[in-house]
Amino acid sequence: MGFYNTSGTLVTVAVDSIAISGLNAYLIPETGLQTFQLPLNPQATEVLITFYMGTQMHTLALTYQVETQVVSKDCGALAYLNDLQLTTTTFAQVTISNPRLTTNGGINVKIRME
Amino acid sequence: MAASMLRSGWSSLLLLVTLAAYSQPADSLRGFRKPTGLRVGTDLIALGKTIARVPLTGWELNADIDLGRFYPVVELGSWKRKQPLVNGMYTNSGRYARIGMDINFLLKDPDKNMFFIGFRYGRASYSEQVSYTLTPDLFPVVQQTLSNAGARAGWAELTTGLRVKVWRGFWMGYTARMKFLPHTSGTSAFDSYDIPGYGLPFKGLYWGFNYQVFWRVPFERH
Repeated sequence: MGFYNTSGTLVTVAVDSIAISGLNAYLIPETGLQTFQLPLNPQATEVLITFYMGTQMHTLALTYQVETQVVSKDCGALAYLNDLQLTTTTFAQVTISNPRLTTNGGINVKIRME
Repeated sequence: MAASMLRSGWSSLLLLVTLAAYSQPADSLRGFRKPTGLRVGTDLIALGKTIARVPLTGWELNADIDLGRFYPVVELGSWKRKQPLVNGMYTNSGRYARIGMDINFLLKDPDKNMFFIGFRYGRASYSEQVSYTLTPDLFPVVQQTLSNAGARAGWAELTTGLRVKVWRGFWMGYTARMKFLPHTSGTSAFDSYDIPGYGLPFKGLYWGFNYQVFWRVPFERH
């Protein structure tokens, strides 16, 4: 996911920590964030992400589907996450730019910062 | 892609029917005739794989009957795969059947040896299961097991091959198969990896080969 300004340009945002449902730890970025690779639990189909940004707190709830494919004996079976959808958010505007999640597929979620 | 494969399949079928109609003189076995015998056989490659205990085991029975140059064919088989994966295990087990027709192009052979081109439609009923280990970033390692208990599939084939009389009612031969248009149902847990009687459906065209032995039972003693 990536943070954008109103003109659609990537911007750096100061995020103190990120909480992800199902994960018993906070992610603490070392520097400001422009993009962020969201870890998702393949045993779940929804996730709640909480961004702590100074005195502000924003949440983002997403749902997704998990699809298993047996690729080959050498690649094995893989779990693909797709059909990403926004449920709720406290950000001004969030758009799903690509509902199929991959580790190198670019930006899936665009968060517009005001 | 499926549409173009279907078009090419029908084109090939039309071509072979046309060839069958025009390749022989009028006094040959060009038309349908009363059947003279039933030929029943099995696939030696499937039996060899089963004996060698390769990941794929099974058997296949074949039967055809002569109606002049046209040979209606029924094939029944069993197929079981136990395929180790780099992160788990895939297994399936099921039965399949094919029906179709072979068209013989050696009409003047006194022993009724055959070089044929034909077509099949296949159906399979099977179950499959995959167990695998997931190692997601930050989340705990997961052991996942998914099953398609009542999977079904269908497909089409173009075939060619030989049947040669070896001794009395004993025949040998081979069948090469070009398999296409696989379609499945009852596979909600995961897409089928291996369809009994077909193979790997995600490869588009899939090729098969049988080396067969037969026993022909004549309907009348001459």
